[in-house]
Amino acid sequence: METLGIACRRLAFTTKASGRRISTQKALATRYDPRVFRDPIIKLDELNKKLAPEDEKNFLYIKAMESDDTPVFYRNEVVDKLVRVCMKDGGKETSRNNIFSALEIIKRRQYKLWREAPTEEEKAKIETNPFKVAEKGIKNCHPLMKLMPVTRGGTTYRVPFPIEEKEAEFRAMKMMRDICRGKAKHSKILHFGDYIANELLAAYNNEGQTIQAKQELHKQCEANRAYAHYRG
Amino acid sequence: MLRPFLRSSLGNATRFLGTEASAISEEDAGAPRNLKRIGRALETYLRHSRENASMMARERADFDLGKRHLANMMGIDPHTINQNDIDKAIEYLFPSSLFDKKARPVMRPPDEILPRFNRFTFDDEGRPSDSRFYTLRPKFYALLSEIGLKTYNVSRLHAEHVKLNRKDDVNDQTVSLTGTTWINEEKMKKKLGENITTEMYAHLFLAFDYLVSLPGSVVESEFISQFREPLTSATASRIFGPEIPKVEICSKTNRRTATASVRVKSTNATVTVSDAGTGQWDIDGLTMHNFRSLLAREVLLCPLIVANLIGQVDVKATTVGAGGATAVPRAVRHGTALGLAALFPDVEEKLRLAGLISWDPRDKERNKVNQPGARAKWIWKRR
Amino acid sequence: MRRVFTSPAFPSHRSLFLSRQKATTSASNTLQQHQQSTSSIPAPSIHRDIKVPSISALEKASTQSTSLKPYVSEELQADDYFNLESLVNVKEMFDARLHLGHKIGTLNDNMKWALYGERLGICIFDLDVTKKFIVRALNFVAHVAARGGIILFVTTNRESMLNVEKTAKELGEYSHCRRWQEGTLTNSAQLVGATIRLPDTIIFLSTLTSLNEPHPAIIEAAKLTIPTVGVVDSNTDPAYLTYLIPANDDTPQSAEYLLRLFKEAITRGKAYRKKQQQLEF
Repeated sequence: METLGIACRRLAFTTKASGRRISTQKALATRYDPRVFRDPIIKLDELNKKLAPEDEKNFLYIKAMESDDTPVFYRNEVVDKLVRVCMKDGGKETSRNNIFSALEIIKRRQYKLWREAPTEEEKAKIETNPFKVAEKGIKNCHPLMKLMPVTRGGTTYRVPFPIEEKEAEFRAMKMMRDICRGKAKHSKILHFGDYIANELLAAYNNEGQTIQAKQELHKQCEANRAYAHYRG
Repeated sequence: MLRPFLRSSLGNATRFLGTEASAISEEDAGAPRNLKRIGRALETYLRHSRENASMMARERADFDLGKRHLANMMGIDPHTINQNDIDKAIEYLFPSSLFDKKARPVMRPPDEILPRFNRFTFDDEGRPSDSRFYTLRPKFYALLSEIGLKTYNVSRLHAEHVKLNRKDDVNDQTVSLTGTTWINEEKMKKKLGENITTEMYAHLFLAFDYLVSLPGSVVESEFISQFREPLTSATASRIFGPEIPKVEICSKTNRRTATASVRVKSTNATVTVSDAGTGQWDIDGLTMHNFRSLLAREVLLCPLIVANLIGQVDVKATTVGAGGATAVPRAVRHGTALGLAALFPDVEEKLRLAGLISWDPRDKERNKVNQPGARAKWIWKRR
Repeated sequence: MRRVFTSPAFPSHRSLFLSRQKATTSASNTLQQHQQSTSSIPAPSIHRDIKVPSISALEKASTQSTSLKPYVSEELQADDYFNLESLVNVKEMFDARLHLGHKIGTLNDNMKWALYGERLGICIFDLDVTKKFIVRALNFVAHVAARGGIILFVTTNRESMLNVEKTAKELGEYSHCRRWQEGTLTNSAQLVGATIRLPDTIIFLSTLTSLNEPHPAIIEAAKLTIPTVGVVDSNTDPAYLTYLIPANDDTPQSAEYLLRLFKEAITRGKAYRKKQQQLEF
């Protein structure tokens, strides 16, 4: 099979003791050689635009599209990521069902609110699209900093570090997932999806345990501000 | 042997301090000790040089004879046998399962395989022919100086353009580097004919990058292009994986079809896409309805969504070694995309940029010894 | 400064391919045979009437080198055989900014002899002294060229580097304007792969490296007794250089001027050599 573009090289040699082959290849992070592969374009509007002639994608390989990047109209990056974060042992189907049932719950509740809203003004204010609610909710949970253990002179301090958007998003989802898993474990009636729905709605309104956890983290960071010079 | 290296014109009696025998030496007192030593070293060099030349001539003759024998053995015309034929023949006659391709038996012209003998170029007075000889890397430094000179010329030319207010002149642009990349270290070594270190190579391209960045560098584009190679040479074709199949016409239904053989993990699929269809799906006798997961359906429909051909083609696929939940849909997706690219060439670029025509090389990683799995380790105990 | 005799009577053991060897080519065989019949020593082609010193004369000369003057060839008897003094004039040197040294604080004690004085904190070279030394150096270089010697131009000044390389190439001589590999001269056999003919003289247009250290080639040349010509600035140490030229080495104008002089000197030397070669045949 084609070995072009695959970043790992196999070097086999036999040892004198046994006749078996021992591979000396290192486990690499990617099967795509970063020198010759580029990411695919997964948005339809960008695909419909013509590529600039000097763009390097004209001359290089393109990586295969991921399974959950199909450009369907209901594609939502944040929700997809949440599905992956809440996945257990590769069971994406289950995770997806849970999250989508949560979104359905959100939709139902928001629709109810919308129907019961007295004036047009208030109706306009209510967001019924559950994807948007989920997005906003996660966004509200984004922490600004994280605490990393730094050991100086025998003592391990927890030092606040700034984080990127991507990592903040992951940490928010992880916080929410852990909280909901904890709750679901102790409950016999409500399931994981129900708790996620509650959390997302609460987060959308800047309430709930995830938001609380984020604020706790911020307080801790503020308290450990003095150790920030250990960051180097 | 020393003759070519001795100066004819200033021949003179040689007198050396410290020769006890006589201050007046005879004609054949012989070259003095030092000269003799050097003469011997030179003689050795000359001898090696001649031996090497004769050895290479012998090897070349052997190779030519061997080529004819090989042609005879394999039933190829000995006059038109080329290196490709030789490689195939050797692979057939000496099958090897060694992993390293360089360790396998090879038959090539001796100039390509045998180590080159360093021939110095001196004239008959022992003077080197290259004026930068004493830098020990004359060709490398010659190139570096050339770049320096061209950099100076380009910046001077640009200054002139600015002075004469001709900034939009065609000759004042930066050279365009799209679709090309600098040649790598090995090629550079071969081109220069000298052994250069990675540091020297890096210096060279620092100099080149600066030249290329200057406005007006388009004047030297010919020189620069000598050291650039097209990006596509790194990737033989733009498609990673099986190529786009040829369009065939099904004799029974008179529809255009394209068949692709693809693989995802351990699932091998043969996918046939037919033109003028109604959106029928037949995957091992199953329809879209049988794929209950939304993800599987999304994956199957992906190429049609991107190409905007939903309901216009029929897809028929057969799999061998069917895998997990997404393995079969991914394989069929790859095959469908290849088929669509064959039937409708104008969507090929879109499908390629979306990553649908690329083969996904991700396979299950092998398990390692002393570990439960590929990456998982046994529970680590401190003592 | 000691004058180095490069007459055939005193061949240096490091320049092995040069003029001090007997003629053995077929072209001069007939001449040789004729000469053989008259004396046991073959007569030199260029240096006619050479007198060979006896052992006792040589022994005396170890303390009094001037006693060997009669044995030295006729061209070397003259101070300015190639009339190079006419090329050098103080006004031109001044215009080429040869007189500008570095700041007073960086003055090397061994360069004080060359200074005219100090102006606004900058050392000024005495151009009359410089002229004398330039003429001496130019003549030496011309004599080397007249005997077919290899001349190596060395500089570390990035501005004049390309000019030096160009000039050396035009003259058919050699240049080294790059990073000096340790052992290029002393360990040449190993670095090149075979024994090679080394330069017969090295002309340093700047003696300091980019790290303001003395150029390693100076010591290497000294180890191999290769005579060197060096342009020494006020902040450099003149040690180990044979022929000094106390002048500015940093500006491209001064380098250009000096290169022009060297070019002329070498050209004259080579023309002389060609004439001599033609005379033989």
